[in-house]
Amino acid sequence: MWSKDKSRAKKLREVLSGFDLELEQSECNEVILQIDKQSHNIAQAPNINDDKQLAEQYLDELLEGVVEVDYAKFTRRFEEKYLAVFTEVDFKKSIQSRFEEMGDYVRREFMGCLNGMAFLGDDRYPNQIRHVWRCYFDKNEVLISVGIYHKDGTYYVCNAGSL
Amino acid sequence: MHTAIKVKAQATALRKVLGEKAHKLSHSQCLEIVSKIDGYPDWNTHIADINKNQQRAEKFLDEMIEAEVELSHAKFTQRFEEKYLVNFTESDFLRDMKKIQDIFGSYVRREFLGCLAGEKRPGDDRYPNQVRYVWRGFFEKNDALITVGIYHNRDTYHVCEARYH
Repeated sequence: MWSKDKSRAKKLREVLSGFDLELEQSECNEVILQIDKQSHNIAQAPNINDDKQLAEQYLDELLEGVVEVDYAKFTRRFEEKYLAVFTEVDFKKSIQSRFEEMGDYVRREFMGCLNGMAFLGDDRYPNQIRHVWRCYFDKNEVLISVGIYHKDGTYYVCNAGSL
Repeated sequence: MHTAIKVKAQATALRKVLGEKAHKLSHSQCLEIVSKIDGYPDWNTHIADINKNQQRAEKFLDEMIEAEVELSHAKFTQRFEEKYLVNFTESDFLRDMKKIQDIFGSYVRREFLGCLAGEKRPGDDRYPNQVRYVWRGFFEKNDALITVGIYHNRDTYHVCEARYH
């Protein structure tokens, strides 16, 4: 359990006893985890759609790629032709420094989405939608954005990173 | 730091989770509990703080958007601590404004998306208790993700980050 959640669970136990509810610490730990998970679903219910589910799936894969330092996994949803400017060496270098600043991944909350940037004559990422999350890591909170576009029947990732 | 929607959703979830354990509490009691967990004495103080912080962020962003239209470096930087402006001169500002105008066009409106804690780095205490506010900005040419970082130092709220992504 994340250290911040542990202290919130401890506080919850104290507060509940003021309401004449005596819960074990382990139960309070579970309640804190549940309310964070469920409140996210409640707050975001109107936004849940196929596109968002796909974005969540792609972000899961990207994060797994980061945790496992697996370039192939991280880039599997990118169009290969755009990877020339993002090699395995670039990937390893960028995640190593970011990891030190952020710590381990804990959880995330979807914040919303916006249209990707469109420039005259640039049709690399047609109909791109940028999805944005508040991500909790051990040491820091980070804003993460992942762009997803649709081309020739396939959904691809572009512009994935922390802001 | 959470939005009002998030805190209310946490209270709803807490009520449900405790209800499943046969502990019946009202929604208002759950709002009080969630507020206390976050370190506030009660829900009224908590929601007042959330609203005040969000209103402040909206006001600071309004000022910066006005400054962009007026091309006023002084107005744009009025909430920054002066000592951090050495790397952001008037010519930097004017160059950035030109770039923003080229990429995004004129500002139309925005939607608040939420907030998160500012990044902490060991040994760097320049921006204590920084909160980053996030909006979806609608501009003539493109949408932008707008982030504004606000911190509290010696009884004054300052801006340390204002970006279009």
